[in-house]
Amino acid sequence: MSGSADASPPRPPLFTLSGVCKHFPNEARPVLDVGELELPRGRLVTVLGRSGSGKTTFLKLLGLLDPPYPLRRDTRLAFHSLRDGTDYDYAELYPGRARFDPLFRRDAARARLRRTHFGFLFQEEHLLNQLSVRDNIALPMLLRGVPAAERERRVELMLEALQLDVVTQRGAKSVFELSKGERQRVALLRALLHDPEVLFADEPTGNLDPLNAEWIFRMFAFWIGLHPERTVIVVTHSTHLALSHSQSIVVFGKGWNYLTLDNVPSRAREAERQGWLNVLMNADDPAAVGDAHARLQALHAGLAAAEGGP
Amino acid sequence: MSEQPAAAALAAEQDELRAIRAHLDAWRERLGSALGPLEEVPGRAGGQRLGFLLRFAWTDLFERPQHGENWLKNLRLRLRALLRPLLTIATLFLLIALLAFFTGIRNGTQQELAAGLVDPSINGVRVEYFGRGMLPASLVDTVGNLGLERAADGRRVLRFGGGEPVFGYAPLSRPGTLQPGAWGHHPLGMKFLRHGAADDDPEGKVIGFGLSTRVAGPLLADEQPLAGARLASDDSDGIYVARGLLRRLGYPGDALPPGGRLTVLYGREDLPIEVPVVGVSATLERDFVVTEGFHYRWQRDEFNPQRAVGRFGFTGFAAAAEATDFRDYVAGQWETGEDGKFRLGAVEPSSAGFGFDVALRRGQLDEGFVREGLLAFLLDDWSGPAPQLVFPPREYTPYHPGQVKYIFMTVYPRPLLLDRALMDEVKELLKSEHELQMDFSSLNKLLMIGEINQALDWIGRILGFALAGFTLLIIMLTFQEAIARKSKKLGVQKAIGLSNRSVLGLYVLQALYTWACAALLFAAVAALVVAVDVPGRITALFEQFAVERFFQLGAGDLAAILAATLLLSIFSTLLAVWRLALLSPAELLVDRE
Repeated sequence: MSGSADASPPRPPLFTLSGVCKHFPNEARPVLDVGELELPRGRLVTVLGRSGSGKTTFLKLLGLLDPPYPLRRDTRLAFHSLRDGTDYDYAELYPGRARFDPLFRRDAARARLRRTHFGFLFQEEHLLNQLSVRDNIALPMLLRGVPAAERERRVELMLEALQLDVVTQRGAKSVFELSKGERQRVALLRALLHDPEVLFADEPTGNLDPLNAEWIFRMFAFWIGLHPERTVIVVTHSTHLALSHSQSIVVFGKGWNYLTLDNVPSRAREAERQGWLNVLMNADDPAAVGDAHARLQALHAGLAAAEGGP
Repeated sequence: MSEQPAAAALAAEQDELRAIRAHLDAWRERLGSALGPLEEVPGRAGGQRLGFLLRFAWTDLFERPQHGENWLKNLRLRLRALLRPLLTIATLFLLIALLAFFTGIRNGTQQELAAGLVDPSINGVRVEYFGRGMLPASLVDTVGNLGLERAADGRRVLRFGGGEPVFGYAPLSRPGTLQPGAWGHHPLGMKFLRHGAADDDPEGKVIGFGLSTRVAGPLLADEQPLAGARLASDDSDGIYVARGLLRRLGYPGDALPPGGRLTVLYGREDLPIEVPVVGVSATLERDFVVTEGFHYRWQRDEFNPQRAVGRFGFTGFAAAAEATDFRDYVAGQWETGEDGKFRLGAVEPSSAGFGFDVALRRGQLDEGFVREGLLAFLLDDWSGPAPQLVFPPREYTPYHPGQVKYIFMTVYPRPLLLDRALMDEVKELLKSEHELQMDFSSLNKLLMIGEINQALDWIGRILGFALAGFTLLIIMLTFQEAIARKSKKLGVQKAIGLSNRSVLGLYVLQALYTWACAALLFAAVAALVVAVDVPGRITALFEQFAVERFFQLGAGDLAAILAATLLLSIFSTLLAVWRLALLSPAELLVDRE
């Protein structure tokens, strides 16, 4: 992504993509076709686009939730971990053409990566019904091998901090006793407390009221503020939330591939920016797309200059 | 919306947002602590995961309803969660009922038929049965325990468990190299003894059958069965041995052994027999070959009652011998005219049978001879310690009232049809050669029992397979349905880091739990069934059939059922989960409802 204002020493990008293509059976066109793309770390990256533009597929490929088939010779999809200093090449994490992994060795490697480096938050909370609220939150930490005392400490702190009084004060144990917003906050805790390097969120606010949605995005920003090496990649339909909170935006088009732009997380000139963003997402005409992109970049440059000024 | 309320709403929202920000700021330190970096804890994750899987598998079996106050839906969900254990239990009971039913029917039929043997018209008449049907040992036991005791009306009955006539020459290591019919051979090896350094030092190495001694029959005149072995078949005085045999005995192998002889340990009692070695061959494919002349001399001149060995297992024979004066009988010796001798050896104390040694002249080395001799011996058993010669049977003692029936059932893998042929053959043999009229009506009944048993076995097998297939299908469908419902959950589990191996383990654990629940319930119900004597009550319903107990199940049957259902549960689970495990988390998370 161009134009990063990060002044820290050069770090490897979080993800490197090249020639990544995703085909679904019985579909003539690939649902996703990424030429060259590098995603930086330490940012809240929002992925925008119309329905069916491939943004969720993009997220699933990065998060090892879906295989990046077909794997071509020029396909390159790699995750660069600063935590263990390893470059994870996805072509090695998935079986090749034969897709044969009888002993699930590659599956185990993918599971380990998801367990230790990634966190996931979905539109639906996907809490496990048979576990208590606390156990749901603690599960990824348990799978990572975090000692019980540390798990309990973190869970208690977070429940209190996120005002999940329904658990701490009313003693609610079952996930059924939570409201929609509370369930999503529990899911957020589950995704964050095991200290992932990347948090993937797929339309996490789609079922929430604006206030709860705001909560979720502020938590993302707060988490990145705490840990500058962590990254949140979030797919959303909300241009408002994207413009208000993210540092980077990836826009997937319908009929064209994608564009990236730096953002200034602010509500300044939001209506105008939203307008151009909508034009960008919905336009099929390359000229219109280029124009909207240029105008948004100019707007953001101006905002950045204004925020950076005296 | 008018401007005033809109402005108020905006202000309220701004307030809320400020509150959120303020809250996060206020909690920054504690949140930072909770969300802080985690140290890697190598080696702990596996153990914790196992504990989690054990607990999770259990709780997942009886998942909580998720439809709030909708009690009907909740009830349906709970019932559905219980369906698998219930089905497994139902399978257990179906299999048990089927087994019990057929065991009962079979035994009942046998009892009914065997009861006919007590018919006064044939009671007191000897029934000799030495058929060789395809009767499993359990069936022999069944007939012995149920049929014969009742038929014999409490009198002593010898039950034939199996026959194994043994002759001195073991089969060739390469079947077919000996001409058929040239020699009656049987699987008991010969043992060669290596002599010590001096004649008075008999200690030496013994090579027996277990040490891969490849023994052979006699080398008959005009027979050249061995490739490359230049043997003089007219040499009448000894054996040719292979170099390999001598080497295994510790001799150099390139010359005759010391003294030009070997010692063969022969028969049940390892009687040492000196055997001259007339040649050593480097190319002999067998360990030794007996020259024809020596073989004849051996048979003719060296008559020894311990030369050949027989081992016949009579169920309960040893006990009978202990309880009566039977031992005296078996210690006796009967002359069988000029045709040979027949002597029974000691009762083997630890077995359900006895062994005997028999010496036979050439031309009598067939099973029929032994069989007839043995039959004669046994028939004579009841008539007193000073029997007339029972063989040949012209001098046979007439029947006397109360004489026991002997029913011999051997266990040979031959169809029942051959039994009838054998019976006819024996009947004809006894009649033509010994002028002995035998009543085979009881034998006919026993054959009928065997045939009915066989038919019932087949029906039972077919029904058993059908039932097993049906239950397999039902259980598989149930498991698949149950697991398919959990596909989203499986997707979440994989997304947060469970590997396929863990997922498979998780559901196999669930299958084990299900099975254990079913087995416990089954044990409880089975205990209840035993306590109130349900089998007895059911049998009572069929009193007119005079069957002692229709439902009979052994511990082995129960163990087999439990093992089969356990395997069934695991197999069905694996089959159902495997398909889902191969899907990616994203595919599993797709809403399928």
